[in-house]
Amino acid sequence: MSVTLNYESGSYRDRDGRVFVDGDGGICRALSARALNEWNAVRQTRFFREALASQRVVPTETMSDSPAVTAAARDGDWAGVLRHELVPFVSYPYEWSFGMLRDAALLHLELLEQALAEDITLKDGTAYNVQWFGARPVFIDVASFERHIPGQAWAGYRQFCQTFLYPLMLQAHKNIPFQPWLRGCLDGITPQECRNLMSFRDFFRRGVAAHVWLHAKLQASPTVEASDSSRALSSSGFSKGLILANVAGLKRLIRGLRWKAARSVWSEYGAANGYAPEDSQKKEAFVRRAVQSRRWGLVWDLGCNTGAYSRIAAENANLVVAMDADYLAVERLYQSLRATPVAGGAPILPLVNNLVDPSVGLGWRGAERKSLVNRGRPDLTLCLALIHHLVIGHGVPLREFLEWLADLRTDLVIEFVSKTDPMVQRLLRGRRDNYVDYEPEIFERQLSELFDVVHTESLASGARRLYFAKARSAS
Amino acid sequence: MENITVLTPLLAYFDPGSGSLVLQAVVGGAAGLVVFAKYLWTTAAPRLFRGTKEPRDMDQF
Repeated sequence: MSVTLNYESGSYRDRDGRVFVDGDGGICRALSARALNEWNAVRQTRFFREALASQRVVPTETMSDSPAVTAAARDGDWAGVLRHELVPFVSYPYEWSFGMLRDAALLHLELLEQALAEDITLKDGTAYNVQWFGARPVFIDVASFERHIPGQAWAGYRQFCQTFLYPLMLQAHKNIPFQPWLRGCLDGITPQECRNLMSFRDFFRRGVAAHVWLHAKLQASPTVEASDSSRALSSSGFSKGLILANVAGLKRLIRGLRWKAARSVWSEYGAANGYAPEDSQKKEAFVRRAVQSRRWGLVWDLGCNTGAYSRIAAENANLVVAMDADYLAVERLYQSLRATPVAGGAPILPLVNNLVDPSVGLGWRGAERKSLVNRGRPDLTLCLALIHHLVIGHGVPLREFLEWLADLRTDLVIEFVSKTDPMVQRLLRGRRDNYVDYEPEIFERQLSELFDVVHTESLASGARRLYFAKARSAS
Repeated sequence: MENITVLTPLLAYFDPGSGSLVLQAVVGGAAGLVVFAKYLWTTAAPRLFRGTKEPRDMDQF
């Protein structure tokens, strides 16, 4: 069988390795002769074997004889090929909550610390080296590990600051969500930008003077920038112990960062959503019945809030991606998943995502970081207590929202919340009610035009109605 | 055993930033400050003693 190398659009920077998709849809990594040499040294170390065994590093095997190896040697003059376990759903740092970015940073530092003990280092330090298997961070860029050259500093330190440390500081010290910043610039926040964001008071906070202020100063110094710092440091006696001291300091610093968030609009919603107890039970039973109707691959829970329905979906699915536009709601869901993992069910991946301001294709050719839809279409989508926020809160035409869902070719559990509901009344306060399309009859008719409605049920309050609808097969 | 000399230049596939490399000596505690002082002595001092006027390399224009 002949295989053509289908390179991943986000993997192009490192000339010593590129990720590609093989003929079976598996994720492979082609390595140069130099990188293969490094890999053979790294995989024999105790720390790496332990990191693989504890699944902190993505399960990886060396391929010896396969069409992918032949293709890599033929098409790219690559010396070797690795095959990685598939990441269930790719996500990016600008979709993670504060706690997720913090735990990913700590994973990065712990791996570097353990690697250095065996004279292995990380040649970069970007947050994009980490992916999630449910609520568990996993280091995926195994080609970042290589033998440490005595006298060399950690090349990835600046990347680490820009994509981990500064975003976390921004949120912890300034209560500014980092996600829009990271989405706005894939390289992260520069030392100069971070310094400009910090106040005089912040200067006295742990780590700010050194990692931010001095970092920006040194970067702006023409003397330092003009010098061959790597060589000069090496001849000045730079040692591995200095990297270890820096890593230990960064770990303490990051562990101490806390996001003291104010109450957010939706994170409190679970406790005060206005549902009568019997309505809550009825809604849970409706969702569970839909979930149990078959085994689902990927489930999206849009507007997941506390994730109560994500947990129900996880009972009969392979993966649930729980999304909400509210940073604090996603953070609380992540912390609850860490504290109480899903027992026996599918992993749940919590992500920050705003449907009216979603993750789009970014980076080189607009394809380096993919849009949400291009990372995997759902088999089932939950849209519970969501539609009124889009149609009334954001003015999205009802029909367009349903068409977007239909284009996903997903089965659907959707809740229509009528204008008499107190939550909708709250949304309408101060607005002129010209949402003429937002009526139960119109919703029902349009839903039936785009989906096959198989089951429907009203909640006791009468203001809310649930629908389970099947996707129409593409004609 | 492979001969990796202490003067082998850093092989990063991106610009690690000279300032970022130097800072790692500063945040490394007392031992790092000694390295930083030596670094300054070998890089900044020659420039200072040479004076502020450096010959212009016309090739770069």
